Amino acid sequence: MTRKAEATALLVVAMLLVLWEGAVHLLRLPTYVLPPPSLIFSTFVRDFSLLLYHASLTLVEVALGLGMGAIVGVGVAVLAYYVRPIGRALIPFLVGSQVIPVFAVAPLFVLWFGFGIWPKVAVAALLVFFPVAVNFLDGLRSQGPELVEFFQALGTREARIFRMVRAPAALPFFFSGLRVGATLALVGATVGEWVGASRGLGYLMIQANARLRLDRVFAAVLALTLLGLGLFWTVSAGERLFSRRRR
Amino acid sequence: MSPLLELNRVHFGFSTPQGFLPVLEDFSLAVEKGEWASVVGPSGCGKTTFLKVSSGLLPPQAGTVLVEGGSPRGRVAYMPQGESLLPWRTALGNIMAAREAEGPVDSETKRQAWALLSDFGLARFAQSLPHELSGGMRQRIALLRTFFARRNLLLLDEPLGALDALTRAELQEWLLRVWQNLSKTVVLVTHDVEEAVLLSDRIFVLTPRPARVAMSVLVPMPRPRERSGSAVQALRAQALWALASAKNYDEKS
Repeated sequence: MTRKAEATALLVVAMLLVLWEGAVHLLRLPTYVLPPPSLIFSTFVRDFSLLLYHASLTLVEVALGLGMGAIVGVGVAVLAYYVRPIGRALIPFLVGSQVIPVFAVAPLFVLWFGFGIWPKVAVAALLVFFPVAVNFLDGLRSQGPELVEFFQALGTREARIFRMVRAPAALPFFFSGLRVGATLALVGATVGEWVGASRGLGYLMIQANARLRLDRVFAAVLALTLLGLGLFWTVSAGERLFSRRRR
Repeated sequence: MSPLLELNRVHFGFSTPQGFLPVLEDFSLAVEKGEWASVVGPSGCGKTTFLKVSSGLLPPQAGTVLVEGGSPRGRVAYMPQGESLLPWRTALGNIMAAREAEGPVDSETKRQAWALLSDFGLARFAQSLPHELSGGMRQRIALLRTFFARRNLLLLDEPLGALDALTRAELQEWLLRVWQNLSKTVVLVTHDVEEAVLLSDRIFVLTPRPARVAMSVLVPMPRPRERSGSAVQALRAQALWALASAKNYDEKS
């Protein structure tokens, strides 16, 4: 982004916040209906160590969910690419896994995996694997034959062609899937924490909500947003690193 | 001595929704070791299919394809038409890929790839990515990559087809120099009869689809050949005439 565009973006954000602040004061909204941004910021600062305590666990769950979801997603995509009937057979299950509301499966995961971090990791992974699998498969399928024909004629084994040509060519697709997955993983982990947890930003939000501490709920949302941005940028940085290294 | 590439009464066609589409019919041809053979024919006649069958990418439905007396798969270096360089690899990395295709490579391979680039005037592009290079440079890299593979037989599918006339003339001379320095056998598919006359020892003229060799023209002239020389122009006329009569022959039959 250019300096000018950045300045404009900041200005827009500032104007929206001012509007929000003004509306809350003008309409005399109680803070348990909609807290003004100033209160949210001051709560965020005051509760910073509390937020950090909960956010750190959420981050661990999200990172694990993202990693596992990515591995399963790549595995499913490779399987579907090479074994077309399996790919077809998997589609109903893949779509099914995504149309079930996360709220419905989260309690099941608690039942299966206990109250620790694993049900949250599982919900996050469930949301991550789908965009990764779909994007990576698209990346594998969208390649023209020219790139591989040179190697096929030389008699190169398919495993090597996959490593040298197909996988690197599909890498940008993988990363765009992972970027979508990074934000979904946050949703997954938070929902997992709502259902049954004793720590984590989702748990903090449920607790604060029950006490009508909406300022704290919003402060947790702010923390989630920052986590999401951080993950998004980390994935983008990872992509840049990879695309430099594979030269 | 048996030929390096031999197609014997090869039949090949595609199944389409409209029925079977024959592309190669009773197709026979032989290329000797060390030779430069060009294949010319009307567009869409099956030149690319001929190369894919010769490289083992497509199995013939009848007849035999022999490279060095055996199955072609793994025995040829085939340069596909269009952009075939790996876009994330530098020119040097792309050249090395021809050897990496067969297993891990050492620093000696890197040195050889580097030497190849500098021998043919591309050293300063070694670290460039394909998208940073002009179309002519990209084709030079792709051609050198094909030469760098440890194969005696190179199959080139219209490597200069997409270039402007000036760049193409430049590359024809360059390619001839590369070939003369690195004893390989080349089969070049082209739609440019003049290119075939300038470069080859032998020209195969194909009929329209389904393709068959209509005529084989020998070019017994020393290289480099003068583009505007009368001998080149006479042979060009002869090849063009062969191309035209191959068309007519097909229409009459």
